[in-house]
Amino acid sequence: MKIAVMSCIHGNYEALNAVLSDIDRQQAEKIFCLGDLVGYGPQPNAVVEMIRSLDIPTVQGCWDEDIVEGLNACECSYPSILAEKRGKRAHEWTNDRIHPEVREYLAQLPLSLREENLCFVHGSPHNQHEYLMPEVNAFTALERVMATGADVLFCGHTHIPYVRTLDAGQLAVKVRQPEGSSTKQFTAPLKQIINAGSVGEPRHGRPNATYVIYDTDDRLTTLREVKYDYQLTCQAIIDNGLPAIFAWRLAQGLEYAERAEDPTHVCER
Amino acid sequence: MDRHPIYLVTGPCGSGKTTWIHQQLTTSTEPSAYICLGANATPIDLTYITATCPHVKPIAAGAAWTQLAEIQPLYVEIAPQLDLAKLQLPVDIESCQRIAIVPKGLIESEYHDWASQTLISEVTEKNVTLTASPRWELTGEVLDPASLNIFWDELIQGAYGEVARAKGIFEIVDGRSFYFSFGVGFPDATYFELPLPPVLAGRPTRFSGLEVVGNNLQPQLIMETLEDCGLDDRTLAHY
Amino acid sequence: MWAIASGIEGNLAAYEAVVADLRKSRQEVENFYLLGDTIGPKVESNQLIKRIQQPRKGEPTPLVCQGWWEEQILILHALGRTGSPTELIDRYGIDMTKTLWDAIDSTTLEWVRTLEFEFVELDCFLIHGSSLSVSDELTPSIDPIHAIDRLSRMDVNQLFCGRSGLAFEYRIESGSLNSQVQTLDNLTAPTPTILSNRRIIGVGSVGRVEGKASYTLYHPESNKLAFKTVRYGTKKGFG
Ligand SMILES: [Zn+2]
Ligand SMILES: [Zn+2]
Repeated sequence: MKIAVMSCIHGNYEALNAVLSDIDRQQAEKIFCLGDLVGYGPQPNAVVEMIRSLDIPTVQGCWDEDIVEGLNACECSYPSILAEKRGKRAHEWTNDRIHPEVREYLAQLPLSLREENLCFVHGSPHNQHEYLMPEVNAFTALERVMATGADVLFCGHTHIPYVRTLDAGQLAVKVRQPEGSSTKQFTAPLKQIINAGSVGEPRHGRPNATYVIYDTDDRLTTLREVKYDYQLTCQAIIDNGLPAIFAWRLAQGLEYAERAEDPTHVCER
Repeated sequence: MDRHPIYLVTGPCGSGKTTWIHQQLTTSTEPSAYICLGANATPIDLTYITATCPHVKPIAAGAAWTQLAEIQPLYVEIAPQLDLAKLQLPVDIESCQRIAIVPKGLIESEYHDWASQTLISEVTEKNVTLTASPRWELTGEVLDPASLNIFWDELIQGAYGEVARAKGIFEIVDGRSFYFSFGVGFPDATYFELPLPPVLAGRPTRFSGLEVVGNNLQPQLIMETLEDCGLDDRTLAHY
Repeated sequence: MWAIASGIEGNLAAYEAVVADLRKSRQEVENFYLLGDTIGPKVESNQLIKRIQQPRKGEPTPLVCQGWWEEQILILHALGRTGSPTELIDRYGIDMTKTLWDAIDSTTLEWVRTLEFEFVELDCFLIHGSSLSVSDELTPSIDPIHAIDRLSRMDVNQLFCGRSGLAFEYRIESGSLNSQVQTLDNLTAPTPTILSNRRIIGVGSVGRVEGKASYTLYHPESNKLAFKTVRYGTKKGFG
């Protein structure tokens, strides 16, 4: 069975539409969404309504949580004062315009979804705000997959899609206690982390939307990059009174603001 | 007396005048003097040259011209805003070495006509007419370095209009002062720390500022973004 | 030599036994760590804390960090890192909130507030629970991937902890894992990540088992570990 997994739409309705059409063309049977439906982009309500009307199983993203609970991302999740100020402006803008039923919908989203040997989260299984970058230590990455009990972990939040295959894990452990000691050998089975990239706020240097297609039969992943008329979203950003710099950054394929200096750092709020 | 004790350096915006003067000044250690003439010029070039060439006596624009004869060679940078035909100096202009720094591709200009020597810089001429050169004095502002990097990248990549030339001196949170320079056609955008004593308490009183030359610039947005990069007093007190 | 202990839980007799054992060993103790749960839900805790703050001549001054019980008393006084005492109630029932509240006097509470969360020294991280939380209980039977995660969160080779109350050394002698990353523009060749000789050390518990105190000695120069057990009379009160 072919499934489509997408993340980080961030209120970009044009991009979502283009991705949904592409999913149709790829003939995926089921769609999963990894959250961040809102934040930064100009059409948060329309995006949420579309996801709801299509009954797409969705987990809660960091932005969805912040809109529901009030902004509590600590400043350490922002790489700079400038990014933090822009993030706060985007939060206020979204918070002022979001419909009550949209807020309710975001509030009831689960933190993770399971489908057989697949697990779906926004950031990492431990925290919505953790960035699983492709260069994270391989053992750390393996721990994140193992923590879910699944074989394949789907995540988003970094806005750059990738597939990471962790294989041929070998560990030798010696345990010594006053009562005696023992030696154990472990082999780790093949595990994968699949990052779905970002539909509405790409960060790979091009303005195109990204998502992934995963085939559960042959375990093959296809990273999809979809062109769409991003100028329409840029115009909507400006027309709706969001900071004009967001439009410029969207057109460059740069993220608007968020990304922690230390990707695995998670604040203990 | 040297053969060419006084160099008058002119050329269009962003052609590399300061770069050339800086090269001359750093190839020797003999006492020299430098002045930048031009309508409300920011002291960016002056601060840059003073900080990096300790053997150079800086002369603030507007200082008494009598100082000029004291130390030679003297480099006089003439901002393009000044009308060369009407230029009045207390020295005989004809007896000075008149250097025009012009970009590649510029074959005829008032600079060529006026100069006694024309040097072609690495910069390629842009086939646009530069319409604006806004400038901001930022003295007292302390910037967050990560924010400054984002802003600078956005600026030189055109987020605030098409930029042909940008230079700035910025104070950052650990008390150090940085010189940033970018020019279309210049070998590369650079930034480096100025060898100045760090400011460890309070806000710095020495000059910092930004000057941008380009087309369709959005000075209001540039100013607001710079404000967003700055530290307020409470945050600053943490350091 | 370092001496590392945890879990005194207000057991003064057990603490005296450990201190006496250290004195007998006649080796110089450079660092004496108490990794939390120094107090427990009993009034003797106050007396113990006084004793700890006033080491006698020739005794090392302990370096103390917060443990699970310290965290609970702080939560009860709304001084903790989380809001409500759910964990305390889940484990010991609602009555324990009053028992603990009544047992710990204000002087001890003030002392608890001054404690560090953890220590980092050389390539060692010393904490009550783990780099994840004060409640995280690391035991000799943990999954190795889980163990590596706790070690790499603090980027150390050795993690000393006391939450389980057990004395153990969990050494990852060797490990390797292949990783291959495919991005939109690139597919890397599988690259191995190799690690060796990282360990988690459970330092035992001083006060949990009546009559039997256990703690750990560590020699940073040779990296050697020794688990110590001291038996002592269970008759309470040293006068
Ligand atoms: Zn996102
Ligand atoms: Zn996110």
